[in-house]
Amino acid sequence: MSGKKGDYNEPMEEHPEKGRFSSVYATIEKGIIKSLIAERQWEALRDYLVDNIPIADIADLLSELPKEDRMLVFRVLPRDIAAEVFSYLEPFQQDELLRDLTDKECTQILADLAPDDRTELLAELPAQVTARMLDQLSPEDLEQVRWLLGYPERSAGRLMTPDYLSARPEWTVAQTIEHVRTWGRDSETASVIYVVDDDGKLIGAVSLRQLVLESPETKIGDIMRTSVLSLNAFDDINKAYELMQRYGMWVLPVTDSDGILLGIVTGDDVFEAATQQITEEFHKSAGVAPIKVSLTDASPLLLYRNRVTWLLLLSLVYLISGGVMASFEETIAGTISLVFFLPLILDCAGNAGSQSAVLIVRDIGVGDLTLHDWAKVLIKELTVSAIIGLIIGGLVAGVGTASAGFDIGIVVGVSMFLCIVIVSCLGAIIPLVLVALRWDPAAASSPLVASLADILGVLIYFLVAKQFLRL
Amino acid sequence: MNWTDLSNENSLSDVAKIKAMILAHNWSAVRELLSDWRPPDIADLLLELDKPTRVLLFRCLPREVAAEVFSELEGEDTDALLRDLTDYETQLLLSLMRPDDRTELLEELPGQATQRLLNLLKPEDMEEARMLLGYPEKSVGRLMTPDYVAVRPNWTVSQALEHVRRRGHDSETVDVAYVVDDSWKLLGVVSLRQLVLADPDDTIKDIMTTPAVFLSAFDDREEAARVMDKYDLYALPVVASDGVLVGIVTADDVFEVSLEEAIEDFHKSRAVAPLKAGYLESSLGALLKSRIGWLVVLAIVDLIGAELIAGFQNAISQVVALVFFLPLITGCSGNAGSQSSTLVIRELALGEVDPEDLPKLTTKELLVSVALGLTVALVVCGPAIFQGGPGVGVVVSLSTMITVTLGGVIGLLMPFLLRKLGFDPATSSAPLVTSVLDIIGILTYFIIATRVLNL
Repeated sequence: MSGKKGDYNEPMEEHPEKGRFSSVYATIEKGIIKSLIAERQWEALRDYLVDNIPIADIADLLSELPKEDRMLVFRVLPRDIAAEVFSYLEPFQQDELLRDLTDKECTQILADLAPDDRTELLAELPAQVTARMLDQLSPEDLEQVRWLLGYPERSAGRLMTPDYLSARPEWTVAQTIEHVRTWGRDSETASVIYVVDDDGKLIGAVSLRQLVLESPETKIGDIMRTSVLSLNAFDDINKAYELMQRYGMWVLPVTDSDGILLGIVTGDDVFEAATQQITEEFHKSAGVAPIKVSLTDASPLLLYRNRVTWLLLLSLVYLISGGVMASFEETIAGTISLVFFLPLILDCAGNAGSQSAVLIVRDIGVGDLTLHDWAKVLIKELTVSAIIGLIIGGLVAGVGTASAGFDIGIVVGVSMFLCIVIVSCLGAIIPLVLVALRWDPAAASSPLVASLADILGVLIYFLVAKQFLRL
Repeated sequence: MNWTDLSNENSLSDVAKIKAMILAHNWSAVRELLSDWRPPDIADLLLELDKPTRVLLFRCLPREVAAEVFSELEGEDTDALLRDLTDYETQLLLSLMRPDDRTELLEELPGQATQRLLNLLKPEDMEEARMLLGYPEKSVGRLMTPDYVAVRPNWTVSQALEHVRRRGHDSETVDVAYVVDDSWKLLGVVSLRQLVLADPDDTIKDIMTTPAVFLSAFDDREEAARVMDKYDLYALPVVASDGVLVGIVTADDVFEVSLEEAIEDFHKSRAVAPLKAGYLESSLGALLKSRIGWLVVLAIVDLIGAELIAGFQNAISQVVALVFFLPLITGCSGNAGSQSSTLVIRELALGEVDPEDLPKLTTKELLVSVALGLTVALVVCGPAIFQGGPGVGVVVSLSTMITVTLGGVIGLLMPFLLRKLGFDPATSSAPLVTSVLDIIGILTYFIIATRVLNL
């Protein structure tokens, strides 16, 4: 929850614009803000932003403003809100902003950031900026940053924050509530309080809700849940995501290998990391090296770099298809009409193959399939693709006959059938093999496999043609 | 028990133990051992047992746990289990389930089973179920629960805490309470933490915060995921158009939805209609149905391409080498197109681009794809000259350049166009983009060839 305070001393009717449907993007609000900026009404702007605009939207607004205005508006924000807004910005925007701020302002923002946001920022910034930032941290913050940055990328340790609430088993509920009242303001979440022993070992958890519901004299040890789901600091983010999703948790404690409580990870960070990963998989599936920033922010150079390698690699594979075709030059010269149906056959086979691949990859992903199932998968895919092959093969055989004669029709139909069956089965089996080799099975649905299947398609088509037309 | 590992790995020995206990009908021991287990793990255990044993184990669970375990089961398994339960047991189970889980159950079961369950519901639960099922599929209304804690603006903090104590046991989440006026209009939110931190004599309206955003029950459920992600919220209020609070949506449900939606988009991106079950579980008919439709459509588009090539028969018969580069031309533009369309589809799904960004994005894509086209053209120029002479070299390079550029730009525009026409932008799958670009590629290639080589 954002920690902003609404002003409801006046009756609701006078603030009809407060709160809004997410789908109605605040056009009116934007208009008001822009005119306030244009009139240089900084005080009024600050009050308006603080009272009416959620933090995430202030961040959005900043990224839409021209650079000079961005700086001015950012400086207008009250300290605590500025740090929160800052943590919502994209890394490159944070970088830009930091470059323009004075050292003193930077120090202030860094000190106000939550530890997990600070780790993320320092990990993403260019090296020389990071060095400058590290110089400005207080000694204890510096030590904390060094410690958190020591965990591998995409690990629970990198995402965690050491700002959590803990209690002792011998405390009473009343004591613990008092503790929450003293320290609860700074912690990332107060909905769960972790129970640790003298060594700092995690031994249980109570929810704030339990504390409120139980009688004040009860001992924590008697009401805490002792089987607490936890993460190791070196665990992958995926594991955090799986646990949270499976058990419907929003916060997970992170421990070292001795079970000592180190910090907590919260669902918002894990959710974001998981979304990012899905995006990367999408990009990979289309032969794009993962792009971390959004499309509108990505520079043309970055887009070029992330796409050119795959395009070149694939064009080489197509040249090989061309080479294979060249060896059938006489067949082609003898019956030019064969060429008409070439893209059709390659496309249909490729489509059928990527369909089966994507279905199998999904099931591997959720753990439903392993290499042991290959026989079952193969039999099923053979049946499915044979039916598909018959339908599409029949369709194109008919069209082929109508436009280029019966012989060509037969050749096109038969090769279509063969190509669809063979490529579909490959599409189903390759991911299973890849996963057995401990590779990423998703690679099977990549364009590389599709274009390799093209070579196979060219070969099948012209071999069938040679056979049937006796060329 | 080591809870730091996912249960399936660690409790194998426990599973064996429990199976033995079940065989021995030692129910109290089973209950004792399971008292520490979480509902999703018990659900997994249940699925490992044969059907008659399942019912036995299910009956031995404490009622509240049974309801939660039941909510974890899916499709056929729920249906099968329900058929083995008596009407009375079913009634009890339904009354203990959370409203949002109940909606999910009712929408997934086959029609007959749903009817039976509706008849067994208590009148007020029935009304609630009817209301929730009345919202469109995949809407926020289907995800939400009407179980939340509501407080009044003029209450003191201690009054509110007292209310939370009374109501908190059966509401889905009490980490947040919603502040409403007499007509149930949403005024603000107050977190349990704020209540605990505040002075007991403070008034709620002084400590409550403005809800950053709220949802409409008719919003698409993807909207809930986007908003939660953007504002880092755990629970979102759902209000009617007059500002009346009708329910809340919690992150655990949304987590699941966003994963499901991503998988669906992924399937669409490969021209597969969404499948509900896994590959091996799906029937032959279901697999065929999800695949054949698009394949036929795409084949028809490709057939147009075939007709186009036929129109250039003369050119081909004079320079056969032209054919060798046909897969290159169509392939490269298709790939450039599926790159840009995949990038856009994902951004549209995450709500990161709007139609108003279109001119900016198109300019950028034009720049990028011209550069990509030039690069590819440079690389393929050599092999083309080698195989077909300088004339073919010029034709191939020029065509790759133009088709890659067109591919990139058309791939970018297609998802926007489809959305404008009312389709899901994810339909602009790589296969569709590829087929459309094939036609454009073939045309460009042969027109350039006939001009340059004077065929």
